[in-house]
Amino acid sequence: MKDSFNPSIEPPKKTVTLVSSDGYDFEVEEEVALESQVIKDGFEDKAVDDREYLLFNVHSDTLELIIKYCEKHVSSRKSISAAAASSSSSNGEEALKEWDEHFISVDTNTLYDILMAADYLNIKSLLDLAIQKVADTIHGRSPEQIRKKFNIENDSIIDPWASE
Amino acid sequence: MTNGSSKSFHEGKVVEFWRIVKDELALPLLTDLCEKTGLIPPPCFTRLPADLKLKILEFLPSANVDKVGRVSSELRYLSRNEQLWKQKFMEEIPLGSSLTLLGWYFVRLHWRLKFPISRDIAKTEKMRTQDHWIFLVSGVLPPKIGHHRGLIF
Repeated sequence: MKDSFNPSIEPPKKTVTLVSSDGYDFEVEEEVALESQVIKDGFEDKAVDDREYLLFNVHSDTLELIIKYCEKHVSSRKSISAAAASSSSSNGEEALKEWDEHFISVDTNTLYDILMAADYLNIKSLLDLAIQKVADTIHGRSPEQIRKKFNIENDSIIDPWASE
Repeated sequence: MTNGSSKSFHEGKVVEFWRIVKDELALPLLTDLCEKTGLIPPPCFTRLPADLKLKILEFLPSANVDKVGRVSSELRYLSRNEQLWKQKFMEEIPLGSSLTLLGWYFVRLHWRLKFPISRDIAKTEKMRTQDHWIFLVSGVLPPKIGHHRGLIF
């Protein structure tokens, strides 16, 4: 994945450490971590040398994907605003949408892991993306098909709507 | 009426208790146990907390919400969330935004019955009308209590 954005002068990056539920450390740039509203909320109160977050509910496999998503969105936002500033035409938003579509095309288990993690970390754009994906799967299916698709047991003793 | 609202108060408490026990205790425990013992965890969709399921329903058009409501008792309860229908109403009928709450109840009553949901639902329109009156009185309708009441009526 190539990014068109290539900054020439950059101040030294501040980093934050994210620790997954299975004990792996992920060092990410501050602005990438700040995509999560939960991290953002308590960020200023934390001491600079103590910026480590234990994410008890996020497995390292999922966290890796989440970080990939946040990094992509941070860099895309920069390139879109850079393109807007130089008033050159750009299809950055279109490209990002396509990237998102590709990103969320994962197997069901991974999709639900991303969904739960995005909810836990409160990353709204990712949460919406994952929920839309699940909603698309449900869309147009009959109750029986939904049960089959999601492996849900029908626990209704009497279904008042089944027959009169 | 008084009986109805006091019932709905208790129902609200029961539902809240059910949600806490299920989402914050039983499900995480079950997932952890499955992980430890190497057993297959419960299906993904069932594992989602109730508020995320509700959010998924928010993303569906109303005809689909009714179908999802017939999948299981939990989904039936979630699919009857007042706020959810209010939001659907506002989204799908633009005029709705300017109506008063009372007007909304009556229009929705009419509108949900007319909504092209499915043929077998249309057969039970009479039952649904009664259901809406329960809605008016209690506001919420947990799955079990809900359909028992439906049968009593």
